[in-house]
Amino acid sequence: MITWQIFLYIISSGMYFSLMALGFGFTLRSVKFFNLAYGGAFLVGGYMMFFFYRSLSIFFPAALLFSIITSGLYLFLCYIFIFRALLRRKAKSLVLLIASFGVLVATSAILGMIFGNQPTFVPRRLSDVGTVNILGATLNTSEFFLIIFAFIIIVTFSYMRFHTRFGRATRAIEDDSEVAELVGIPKDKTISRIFFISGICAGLGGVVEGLNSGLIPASGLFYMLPTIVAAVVGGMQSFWGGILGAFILVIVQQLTIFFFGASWVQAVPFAILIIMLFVRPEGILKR
Amino acid sequence: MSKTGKIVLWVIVLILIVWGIVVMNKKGPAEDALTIKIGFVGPLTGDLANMGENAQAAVGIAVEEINKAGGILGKQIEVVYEDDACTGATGANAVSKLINTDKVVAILGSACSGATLGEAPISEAAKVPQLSFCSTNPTISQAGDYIFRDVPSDLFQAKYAAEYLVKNNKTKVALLTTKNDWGDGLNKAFTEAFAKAGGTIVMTSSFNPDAKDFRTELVKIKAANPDAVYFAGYTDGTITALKQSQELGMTAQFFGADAWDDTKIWSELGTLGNGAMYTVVGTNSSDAFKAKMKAKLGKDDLVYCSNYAYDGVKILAEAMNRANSSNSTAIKDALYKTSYTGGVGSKELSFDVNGDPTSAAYIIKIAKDGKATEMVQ
Repeated sequence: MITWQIFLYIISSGMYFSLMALGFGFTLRSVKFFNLAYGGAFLVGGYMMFFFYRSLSIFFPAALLFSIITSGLYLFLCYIFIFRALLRRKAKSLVLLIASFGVLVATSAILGMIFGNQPTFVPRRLSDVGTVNILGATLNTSEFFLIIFAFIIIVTFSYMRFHTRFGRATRAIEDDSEVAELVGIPKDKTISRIFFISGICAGLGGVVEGLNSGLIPASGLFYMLPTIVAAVVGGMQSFWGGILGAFILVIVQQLTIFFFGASWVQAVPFAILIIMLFVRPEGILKR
Repeated sequence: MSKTGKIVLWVIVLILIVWGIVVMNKKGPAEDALTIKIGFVGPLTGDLANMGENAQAAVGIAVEEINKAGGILGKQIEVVYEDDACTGATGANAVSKLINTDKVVAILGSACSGATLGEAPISEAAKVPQLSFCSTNPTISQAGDYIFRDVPSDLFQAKYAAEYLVKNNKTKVALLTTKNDWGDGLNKAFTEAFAKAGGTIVMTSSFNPDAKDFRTELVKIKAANPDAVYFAGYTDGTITALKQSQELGMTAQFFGADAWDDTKIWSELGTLGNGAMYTVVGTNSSDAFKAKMKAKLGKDDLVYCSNYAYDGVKILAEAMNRANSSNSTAIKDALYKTSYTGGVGSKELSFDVNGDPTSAAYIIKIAKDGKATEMVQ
């Protein structure tokens, strides 16, 4: 009984971090840097959901759509105005990392000024988020729908990657961006689109978090750690790596809590990351 | 940069350093200043920001009243407000600034036990009396000669909770406490008190203050089937955990401690919080005080710490009048002899040799539909 409940938690958390790692991996593989502004898109998505759904009282599905489009636009604009300019000056990935961190911090601060530093909850009343009973164990409705949506998104993106022109373009750019340009792939246009869909993933993650546990401006950086660990552990160069890494992370975390207690939860991502970097720095999956 | 430029720059740096040293060395609060400066340090940002702002409003009201009545020793009081974000590190910096830069004669603060414990060594070393209006960790009693509080130590709160639970046949309890000074203090105190009262603790668990996911812990607790869960958590954690416990369909009685008096918890949870109980120090609110708080905040929101913060200002004022001086050490000595009655916190207050209040009167509050009200026992 407990096992089944914990299993459901593993599935829902695993899908959540898979979504996060998936979006993060797009920019990691194509532009080859750890885009910490991804945390900013996470916050933007969540807070915009609060804004659209609570402040403007827009119908929930519409508010959801607007929020993730906004977060996608956010990363898109970051690329256009910040990262592209840096890339044109042949900036190294360290510089891009620092710039993205700056963007994240600025975004957190601005959102903190607008929405306050105390937790912001998206649902009007927390009791609005109902529960779903699955064969005796419960999940709340946002977790349940996340599992379904994340699955759909993963399937859609993998189809897009392997069966569309855009997907081929992304794979080419990941391989070797200079040759891709020579061969005629519109590098700039493709990368901007990659940032946009990356932002969508982060935004959706932010909305789910806003529904479940509330958002504080510091959440952006807080959730980047497990996202990065999932992406690195699973395999930075692989599309499926993020998903694998996410599930490994979640399983180890839940088992640790179950056997050792919640106090060790924070140490788990760090421990996994360090072990992985020693044993196999490129991650589990190669491609 | 040219040679002249460099010389000019170094001269400016030298002037700044010398000026800085001179300012730093001006010893002690200017006793002949036109106002008496008191420092306030509390969680104005972070998890307990709601409580901090509430207390800040209460302090403002107390200061207005005192100043309108003529001030203390013929001078007006001025409060300098600083934020400690509920952490010892930020608090230590805030208190340092209050003592060294603002030259306050006394400090009112903090709310969070962790913050107070971080600030106390600095106030103690600088010989500036510090009166905490909400910190309940037992070790504060030994924090120093200059450290006072007008709320009792958690040794009493835990004992009261333990006895209440046993009296009401909740003899199997699971402990879930946050990992900070307040939570750890309660964990230890409750474990001892509950064993003494004859109960058994079926499980102990602690979590990081910024934890968001309690689900697995709660599943474990549910499986251990306790009568009650003694849950010491701050605002953010409590909201998330109680919500998740309802999703799991847990029927155990959730029992908390004084930090649950933050009205934000119950207003966010709504009906999800129904039935949760917690101990908190009783208050003696007057209608006048409640009305003034409502006017100042613009809403009906009163956290118990604010009553004690209000009283704290009045107690410091009375100590200064008794000592007939605004010298910090004189204030400290006078505090030990002060007996304050008619406050909105406790009906009467005097300090024992450790700087703790001599009596402790707790009440139990129960949450229903977005509000926590006192339970008649």
